[in-house]
Amino acid sequence: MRGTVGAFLQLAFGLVSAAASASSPDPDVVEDIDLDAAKGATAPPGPAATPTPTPTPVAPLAAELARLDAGGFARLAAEYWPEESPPDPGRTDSLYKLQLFLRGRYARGKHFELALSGQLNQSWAHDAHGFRGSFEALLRDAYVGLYSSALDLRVGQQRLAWGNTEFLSPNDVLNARDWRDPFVGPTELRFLPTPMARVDAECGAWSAQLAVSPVFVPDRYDVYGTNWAAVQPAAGPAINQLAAQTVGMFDRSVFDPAQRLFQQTRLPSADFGQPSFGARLGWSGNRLELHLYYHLGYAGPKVALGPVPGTLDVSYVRRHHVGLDWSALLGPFAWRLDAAYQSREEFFRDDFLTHESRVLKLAGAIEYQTGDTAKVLLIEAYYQHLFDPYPGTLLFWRSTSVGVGVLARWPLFAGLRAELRAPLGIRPRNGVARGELVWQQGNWSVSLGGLLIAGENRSFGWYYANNDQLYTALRTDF
Amino acid sequence: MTMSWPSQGFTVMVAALLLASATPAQSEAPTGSEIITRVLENDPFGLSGGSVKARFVLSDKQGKQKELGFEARSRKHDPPFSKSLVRFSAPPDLAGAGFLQIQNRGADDDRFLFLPELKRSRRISGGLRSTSFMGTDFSFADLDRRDLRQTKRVTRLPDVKLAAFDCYHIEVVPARDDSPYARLELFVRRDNFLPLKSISYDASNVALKELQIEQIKKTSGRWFITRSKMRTLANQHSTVLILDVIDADAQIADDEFTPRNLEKL
Repeated sequence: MRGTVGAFLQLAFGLVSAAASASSPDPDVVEDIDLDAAKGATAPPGPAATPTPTPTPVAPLAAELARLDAGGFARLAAEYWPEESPPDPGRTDSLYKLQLFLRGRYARGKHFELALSGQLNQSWAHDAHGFRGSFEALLRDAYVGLYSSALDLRVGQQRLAWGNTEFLSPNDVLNARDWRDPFVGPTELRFLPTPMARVDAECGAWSAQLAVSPVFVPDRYDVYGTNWAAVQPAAGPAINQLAAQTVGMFDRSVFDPAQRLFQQTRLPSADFGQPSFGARLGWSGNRLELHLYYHLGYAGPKVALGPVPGTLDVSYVRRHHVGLDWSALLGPFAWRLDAAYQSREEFFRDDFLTHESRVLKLAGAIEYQTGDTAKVLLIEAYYQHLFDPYPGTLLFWRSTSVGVGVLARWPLFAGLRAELRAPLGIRPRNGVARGELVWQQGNWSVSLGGLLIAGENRSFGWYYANNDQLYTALRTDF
Repeated sequence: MTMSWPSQGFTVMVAALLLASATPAQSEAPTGSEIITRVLENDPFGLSGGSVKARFVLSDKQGKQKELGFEARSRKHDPPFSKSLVRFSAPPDLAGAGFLQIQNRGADDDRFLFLPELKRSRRISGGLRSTSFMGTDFSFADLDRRDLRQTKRVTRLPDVKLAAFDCYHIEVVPARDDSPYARLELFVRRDNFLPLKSISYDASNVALKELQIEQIKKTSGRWFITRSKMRTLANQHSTVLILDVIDADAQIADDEFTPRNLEKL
């Protein structure tokens, strides 16, 4: 009997154990394996193994409710422009910049996200009057995202990039641009995030996007006194003298706010009564992608003679934008096309008033893809045609303008990489070439580069021809 | 009543059944193809379902190291193919970048890359199988495992002992024209079908790369390769792939694997 009870208990214990093992997870088992150290192991070909990194404590997986991501960069840059002959009082000969860019995102579950980013800039510009310091704090992204499986809604100040080409970017029309540092500074700071509400939806291969901007944000640019300002020596002595006198009325300590006042631009109403609206429809197939765009926004600035003699009327005008982009993959090459038609766009004439025209813009690019973001080879061609040609001479553009852009980035050795970025106009003949060497060690990088600009009469390269420059920058990402 | 003998026999039988059900069924002489199928079904890198938090640690021949931290979420679709979304957290200049891959049975994989500095998702070529994944020693081909699925020939060679482990020794000749390798040599542990080592060769039979397993972990009843080292033999560059956190049971919705989601945190 004792044996029977024992057997019964054994069976019961076995069943309970089996049930327990079936209902609770197995304990984790970890095995370290050292194939090289063991005797009898197959000798691996090639060099000796490098030291194995040890595991570090890590945060848990994203499945949890709350996630926070923060980072940014700090950058110290020195820029130098060789002295022009004769010296130009409205220009900077050297510039020292300290930039701090901070970004943070907080997400809760899969349905809520808050994004904030901003930059602090301190600069010291040296010109004919000595050093001029300037401090600027800019709020960039500041939006809330509410997400569901069917719809994404983002409300707040944000950057929304349309189109897929690099240089002309005909469809990238939703955000204002910062023209105060168009070639040398970090790429992500060249556009200004704009207040808008954005909705995204997807259904199979189709996607749709709507964006409404209640207030208009104009491009940032200086009028006079800096090297990328609108008024340059090539604008002629009369305009330069007027600009110098006007800016001279302001104390140098208010140089930056004076630039905005000096623009004297009439902006669209900021009472939500004149919003901009955009829509994108997309289709995505294997190796192929297509987007159609419509945007009701503003063109400008439109510069015309004012009602009072000797005054200018500067404003922005409504325009329609329709466009498409297309991208396809063929082997290691990505082919991209951007096309856009705008009902109005303002083009500067050589008397500094603007000419208004309907315009067609095309950009086509081929990129050789390597799978590595540090290796980029891209060539792009662009074409722009004005349907309402100006009988005189325009600044920067012709009735039909054609050009190419080249972007090459490649690692060399020992953390050194080279980059060339060059938009080159064929009609009108002009070009801007930025060459840069970057030496990166961990999260630190040092760059050394130069910018060359040249061009035929009345082209961009001609207008800013004095802006050949050398620069160096120290940057750390965190 | 004398029930002791039959009861003991019953107990032994139940125990044997339990033992048998807990141990994977093993054929006495599986073919090379069967072994490869088991290797793929195991999904030991957790790339075909679930969520992992992981790191690539790149080392050059001078010993300089660079770390790429990422989180990968994946799910099977049209088995054995899968969708995966990788979000990078380190180094800082790559933080926030996202990579989406959707494997397709009859066509190139769809791949999208989101770079936060451009605020754009861009489609990248699915035909780049031989190129490096984000500068690591792992190529896209090493990660998509197609060269083990689509084979011209799979040969089982005589078993070998690798360290203390009995291993199947398999040679695979990939069928795809875009395979970066002419053949692959795998050493698969007999007891759990984990590939302890694999060596890839070019058409001249020169060894190009070697993948060696350094740590494995059994969690939720599945074995994972939690530390493995891929070495490019020509330049003495290596990449260690470390799976720090594994959630093998994560059920990730199909609609998460879209370019729209690349932009989110």
